[in-house]
Amino acid sequence: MKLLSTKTLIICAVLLISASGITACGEKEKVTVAIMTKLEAGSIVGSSEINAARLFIEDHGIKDIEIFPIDDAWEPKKAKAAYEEVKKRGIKLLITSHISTCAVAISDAINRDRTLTFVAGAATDKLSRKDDYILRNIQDVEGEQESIAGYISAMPQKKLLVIRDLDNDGYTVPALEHFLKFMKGQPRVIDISIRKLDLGDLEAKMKKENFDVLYLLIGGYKSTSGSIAQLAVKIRPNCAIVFTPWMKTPALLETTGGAVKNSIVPSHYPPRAKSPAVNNYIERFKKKFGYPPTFISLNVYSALQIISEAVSAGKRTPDEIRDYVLKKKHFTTDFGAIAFDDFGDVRMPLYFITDLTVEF
Amino acid sequence: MRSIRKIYVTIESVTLIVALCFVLILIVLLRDHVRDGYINALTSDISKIDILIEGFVGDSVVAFKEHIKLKDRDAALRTLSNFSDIYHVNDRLGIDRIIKKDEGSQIFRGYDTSGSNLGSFLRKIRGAGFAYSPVYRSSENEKLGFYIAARDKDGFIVGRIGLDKLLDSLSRVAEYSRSVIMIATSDGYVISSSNKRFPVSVLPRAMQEEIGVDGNQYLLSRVPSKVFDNDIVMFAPLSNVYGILTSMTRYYVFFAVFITAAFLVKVFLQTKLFIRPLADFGAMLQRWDVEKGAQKVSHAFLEYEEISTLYDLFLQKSSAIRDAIESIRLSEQEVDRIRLYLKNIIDSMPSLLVGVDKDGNVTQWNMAAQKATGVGPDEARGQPLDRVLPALSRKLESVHRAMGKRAVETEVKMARTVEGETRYEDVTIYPLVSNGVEGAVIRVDDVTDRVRIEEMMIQSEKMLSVGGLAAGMAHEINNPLGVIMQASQNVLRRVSPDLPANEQAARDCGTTLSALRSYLERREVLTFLEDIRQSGQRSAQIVSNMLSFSRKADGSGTPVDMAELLDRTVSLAESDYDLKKSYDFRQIEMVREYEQGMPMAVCQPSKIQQVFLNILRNGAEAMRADSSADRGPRFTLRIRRDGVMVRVEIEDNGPGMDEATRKRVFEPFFTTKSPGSGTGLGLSVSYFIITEDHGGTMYVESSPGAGTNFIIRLPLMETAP
Repeated sequence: MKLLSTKTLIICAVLLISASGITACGEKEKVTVAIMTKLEAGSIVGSSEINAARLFIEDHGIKDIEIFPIDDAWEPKKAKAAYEEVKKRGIKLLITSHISTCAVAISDAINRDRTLTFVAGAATDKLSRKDDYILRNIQDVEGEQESIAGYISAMPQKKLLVIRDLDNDGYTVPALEHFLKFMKGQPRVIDISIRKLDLGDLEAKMKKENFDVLYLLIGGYKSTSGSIAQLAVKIRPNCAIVFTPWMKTPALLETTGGAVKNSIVPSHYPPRAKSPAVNNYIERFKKKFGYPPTFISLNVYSALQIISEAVSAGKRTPDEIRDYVLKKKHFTTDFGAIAFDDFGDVRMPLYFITDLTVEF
Repeated sequence: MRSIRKIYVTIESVTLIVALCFVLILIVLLRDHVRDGYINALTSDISKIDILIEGFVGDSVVAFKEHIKLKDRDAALRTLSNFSDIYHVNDRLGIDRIIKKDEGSQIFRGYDTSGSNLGSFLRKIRGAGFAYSPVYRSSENEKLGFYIAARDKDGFIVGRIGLDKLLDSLSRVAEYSRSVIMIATSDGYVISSSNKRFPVSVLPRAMQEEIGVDGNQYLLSRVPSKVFDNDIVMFAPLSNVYGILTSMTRYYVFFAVFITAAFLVKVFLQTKLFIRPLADFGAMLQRWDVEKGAQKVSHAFLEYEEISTLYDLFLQKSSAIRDAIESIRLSEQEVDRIRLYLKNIIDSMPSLLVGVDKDGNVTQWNMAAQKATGVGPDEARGQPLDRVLPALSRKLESVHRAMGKRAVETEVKMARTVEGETRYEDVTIYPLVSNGVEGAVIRVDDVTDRVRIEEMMIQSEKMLSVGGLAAGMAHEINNPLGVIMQASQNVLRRVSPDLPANEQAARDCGTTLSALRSYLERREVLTFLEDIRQSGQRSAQIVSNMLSFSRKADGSGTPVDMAELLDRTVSLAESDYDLKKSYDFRQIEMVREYEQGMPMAVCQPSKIQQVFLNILRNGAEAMRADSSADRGPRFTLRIRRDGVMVRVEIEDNGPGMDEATRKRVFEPFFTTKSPGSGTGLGLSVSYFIITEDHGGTMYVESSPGAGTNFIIRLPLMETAP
């Protein structure tokens, strides 16, 4: 064997390695989508959204999208830090499933960095009607409150008490404004800080009010809302308790106790009994992950479905996907149609679920 | 032939493969061992965690147990510092008394626990004993903790211990061990994790399993807590478990590629260092021209001491080789020259020389053999002798005998017919006896001319002897013969009626001549006298013929057209009465093959005609006597130029002669006829006429059944003496 053959061997080896690298490099890079939410083991909130994303990828055999969960503990400061980490990783697509204050806290950074963001869980109107990089497949607080106001107005109960949580003022302040705008009459409002709630003090205040319907204007699920519901029923056993759509979670059953029968929860999706798609999703989710998902998880699922459609159409950059969505506007997801306006916002009526034991 | 390079590369390749396989096997073999060891370590760690938990809650449990025995439970609250909440729950699962409440806890008097985990736990308490719950995430403040409850007369005393501090400890442990520690329900639902982002909320059924999470591999180890009805779970990265093995596994491909690349570089460099100099040396040898000597080589070529030494040795040896080659070349040239010289000698020899080996195959073939057979030396070599020289096929036995006995075998005057002509050859077989080479050399000499000359000389000697004898006898016989002839003629004259004196003498004797003649005729005396006279004449002719052996012709020759002379002789033979008596010449077919444009021959036409007649007569008689012939008699007459001579052939298709007869045919008085049919001098005289009178040659070719051919050669006019 001549020396040339040895050289040839070496050259072939180098070429082989290079070819492997080139081949590897030739493979299309996956599009990474960060999902920002509260991540806490044992909590269905947050994990529902992440698992919903995983379920979507599994259901549809998606190979060109990967998920990056990131925790913001539903706190604005942590949301900013979480966003910085997303940015540091070069991720330009984001789905958020957090409270409005967190959404507002990072909105400037999002637009500055041109990170296309699907807001799946925040209803603040500070993000509405803006030509920016924030799209929302959940209607804003104005539309939401219009629906709730309309429902409550139609209820036979007429003595309304509103308990508003100011911890999430990014949502609750504009929410009340819109609610009152659409509501007939001027209800009584008690503002609380749900983290520092003194139930005794609240109880005293509630006792002073004559109400037969209580609207708990609390953004994001808090077990305290269940306590407040129980308190309300203790004071007014027959009162109806209307939650915000953010209360639609099975954990509500744990904390409302006997007040569950008084409770009404608005929903962005039809009740399970009336929507096979939603019911099927919840059943599959429970079977796979062992617990029922939050409703926001459906929003995350739908948002990912829209992103996946854009990626399949060859759009990979935030600008391309944004332009695709704003141009197409109408999308059909597994859970129904979504129609974006020119600003990437949606307007959908709410459903009102009265039998929580069946729903959850 | 083996190649050092190939052997070296093979050995190195095998070594590489063995090394890679060894590492792979090591990884595989160690993997399970390490895994089992690590699982044991994990289990031990989890047990320690459980002990930690037990330690954490143990005192609290004891304190609670003591507390519930107290009547004034409020007074001893300081002993329950670990409890975040203590309250009384009535039988309807509503909180009816709050003894201690955690900051931020949203329970209140009247709080309905029926839908919560606490409610589920309290429902399961039977009897009067106390119980503690699995770890739950509190629905009041979403903090992790567990409940201790004891039934009393109207409900339950419930205490809740928060596990925040424990979880902090577990988080530190997890951080230290770079693992994830979880607390899960016995059904496998995770309720707490040291890593919030760890995306596992439902555990697999197995208690130990390797599981992939977000692209990373973990070893899951799950142990039921002895304290709670929960499982303590550890996810240890396999990189922890297998340590270097994981790195090796993960990077095995790169390791293998790196090692392979290193091997290739090593082989390349070592090849360059060890084998390439040899290859260069070989290339130099290949370019080496013996004539021009060793080429100059570059300094780089001689940079290695061993190669330089080898090169010096090569120079020495190559010089010696060149000298040896030159010597060999000169020797070869000499050998070639000698070989050519010997070949020339052999080819120059008129003899046919054929060398054969012990198997009878041709090894040597000279020019004479090629001319004789038309087969070239290259074609003949290696062929069996009898194939290329069929004429010697019957000599093969002699060849083997010569080789066997190592004695020369000779056969002289071996007759062979070539193109209708009988040739005589001496065949001598010489065995090769020297230098261990077995074989033989066959020499064939054409001795036809010599044989003919010898025969002619013998014939001439015979003729001369006969001539001398005849001359002597003729003179002695002539005298009495003359008397006999004279007397017989006188007697016949004395009784002839033509002479008057004869009549007178008869009357004087008292008779008549006619009566006397009648008496003589009646008694056949006149016939006797005539016979005496004819016999005397014949004897005289014979004596005359015999005398012709002793005298050369006294006449000089004249230019004669042989063809015309021969045709004239044939016509004479056809018209001659005597000849007709025995055979009819006109019944004999004459075939003429005369060469055109023949020059005249110098001869005495009458004598030559005599010779022709003699031959024709003999041939006719022979053909007539051949009763076995199934063909008609035929003479073939040929005349052609034979060098400076004219060659005349008279051939018959008679019975032919055997060798013994043929040799003696020109001998005086030799005859095969019955006595009285001839004197046996005809051909002898003919021979004498041709050879002595004309300086020509005459011989006969004949063999039994093949006819007889008389060949006469006479000088042409241009060369006649």
